Amino acid sequence: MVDAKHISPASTIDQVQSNSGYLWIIVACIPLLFQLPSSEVPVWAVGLVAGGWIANKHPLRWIALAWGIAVFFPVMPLLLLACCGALLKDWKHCIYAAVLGSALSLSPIPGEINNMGTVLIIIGLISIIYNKVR
Amino acid sequence: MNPIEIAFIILAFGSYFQHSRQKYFILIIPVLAFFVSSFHAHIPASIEPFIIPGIAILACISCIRLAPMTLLLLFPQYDHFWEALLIPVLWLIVTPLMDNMNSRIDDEYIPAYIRGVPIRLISLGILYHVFHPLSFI
Repeated sequence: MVDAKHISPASTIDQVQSNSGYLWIIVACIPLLFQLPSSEVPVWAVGLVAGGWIANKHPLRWIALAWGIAVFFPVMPLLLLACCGALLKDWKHCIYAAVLGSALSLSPIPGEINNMGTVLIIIGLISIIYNKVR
Repeated sequence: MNPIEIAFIILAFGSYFQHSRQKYFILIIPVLAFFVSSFHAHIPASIEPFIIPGIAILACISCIRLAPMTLLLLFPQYDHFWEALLIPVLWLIVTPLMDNMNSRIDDEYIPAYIRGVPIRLISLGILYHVFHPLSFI
C-alpha cells in the first residue's frame, strides 16, 4: 500500500497532466461539432499548427493569430481557432488535434453520434483501451 | 455548437480551469455575450468586428488562467437569454454531482486503467445525454 505522505504534490500534478493528455481529442472534435464547412477545416488545421509554433500557451497571441486568419478567411469564426488553440497544452497536441480534426472532417460521421456526450464516451473508452494495452 | 456542449467541454477540461474566479466568469460572460448579440443592430458597423475580440482580450487579461474557458464561453451564438443562463445552471448542477462522484470513482475497487480521467469522461458523457433535452426547451 502506498503511503500518502510519500506522494509529493509535484508527482500528483504530473500524474493529472499525463492523464489529461487525451483531451486534445476533444479539441479535434470541435470543428466537427461546430459543423465547420470541410473547405474551412484545412485553414483551421494550418492555423492550429502555426499557432502551436507562434502562440503556444499565450491566449492573447492565439486571439491575434485567429483575428489575422479571420481577415483573410472571413468564413472562419474568429473565436473557434483561438479557443481550440488556448485549450491545447503544447505544440505536439496542436499537431495531433489538427491531423485528427482534418481526418474526422473527411470521414462520413453519422449525425446521431455527432454530439458532445458521445464524443466524451468514445474518448473515455479510447483512454481505457490505451491504459489497458500500455 | 449549443450551450450545453460548451458547458460539457468546460466540465471535461475541469482540472485546467480550477480558479477562485471561475464561477463569476461562468455566470457573467455568457450573459455579456448575449447582450452584445442582442444589441448587434445598434452597434455601429465600424466597431462591430472589434466588440467580441475586445471582450475576449479584456477577459483574458483579467485572468489569464481562465482565458481558454472565456474564449469557449464567448464562442456560441446566444439567441435567447435562457441559453445564456443554461451554461451556469448546468455547471452549478453538474459540478457538485461530479465532486460527489469523484470520491467514489477513485476508489481502489475500480481497475487502475479505468480509474480517474477515463471514468470521469464517460460519466460526463452520460450526464450530457441526461441534460440534453434541456436544449429543446
